[in-house]
Amino acid sequence: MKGMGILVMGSALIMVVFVIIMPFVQIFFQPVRGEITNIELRTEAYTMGNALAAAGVYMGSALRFSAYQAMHDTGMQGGWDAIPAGKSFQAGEGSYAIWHNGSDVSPSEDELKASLGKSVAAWLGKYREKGFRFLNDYSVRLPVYSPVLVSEFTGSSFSVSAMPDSRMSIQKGSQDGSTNVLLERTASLQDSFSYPYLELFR
Amino acid sequence: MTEVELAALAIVVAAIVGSVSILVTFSLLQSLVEINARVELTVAQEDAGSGIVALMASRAGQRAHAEIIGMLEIAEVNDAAVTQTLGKMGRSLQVYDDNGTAVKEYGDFSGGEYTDIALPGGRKGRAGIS
Repeated sequence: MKGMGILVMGSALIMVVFVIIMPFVQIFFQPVRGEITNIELRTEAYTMGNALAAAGVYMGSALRFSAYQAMHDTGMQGGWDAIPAGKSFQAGEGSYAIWHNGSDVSPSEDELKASLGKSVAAWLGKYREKGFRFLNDYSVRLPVYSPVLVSEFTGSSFSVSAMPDSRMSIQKGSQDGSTNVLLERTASLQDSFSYPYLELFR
Repeated sequence: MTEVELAALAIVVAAIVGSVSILVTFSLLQSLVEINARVELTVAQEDAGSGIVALMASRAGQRAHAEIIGMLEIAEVNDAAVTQTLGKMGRSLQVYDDNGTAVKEYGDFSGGEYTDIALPGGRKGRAGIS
């Protein structure tokens, strides 16, 4: 009987050891069950949205600077973006527009608007071709602006509208390539100017 | 019953009790582990630059600050007024021309991040706003 008691005790001891050890063995081979996982999804969508908004502000100020420059350039050409043949004369190294040659040959309001629009579009192109970068890392793709329309000269003010060929956009992907965010924004530009520009040519 | 039969019976009973104990223990432990297992999911939305956009888009009279900042290098600017405006907004400003030369500095800029600005004459500069 003593031998049987030892056998029973031994069996029980083996079972106890199993009971204690096996769960840990199981956890070791199935680590996912007990793992506490921290996942942080960092999304830059709002910053990208800010980049688009800032690009809109950038192109808005670019439109104003382009209009100022276009008014200067067009004025220097007598109201044309390029002086038409037969309406210029040479004086020294300069070429000047003829406004009166027995009759009024100065640019009409429509010609002035068209010339101003072309010049604004050319200057806007300089700003958009350099792209726009926001907070070092966010590059916004800017559209081509054409045509640029100049409104009627009403009193001493007029407005300029620039039509984009597409929306402005920003695209950014995560480093591991798992996500790719594309945001777009309407890109049309319009502003008004209070200058008696037409009166300069009358 | 002989001693051998008793021993065999004892082993069988011990094996059954042990197996049941193992299953119950596994189940309890797994339940505990599953309760403790949690995925901490954080969605961090970065919203950098909203203050810069607000400053650039806001107007002083008929002009947006983006235009005013673009003209700082060429215009006769009331620096005290600019400093006062930036002070009210709690911001500092550093403006660079298209050659990368600092043309205006208001306050201590140490942010290290720059945003493009339009300059007159088809040029593009940079502004550091913090």
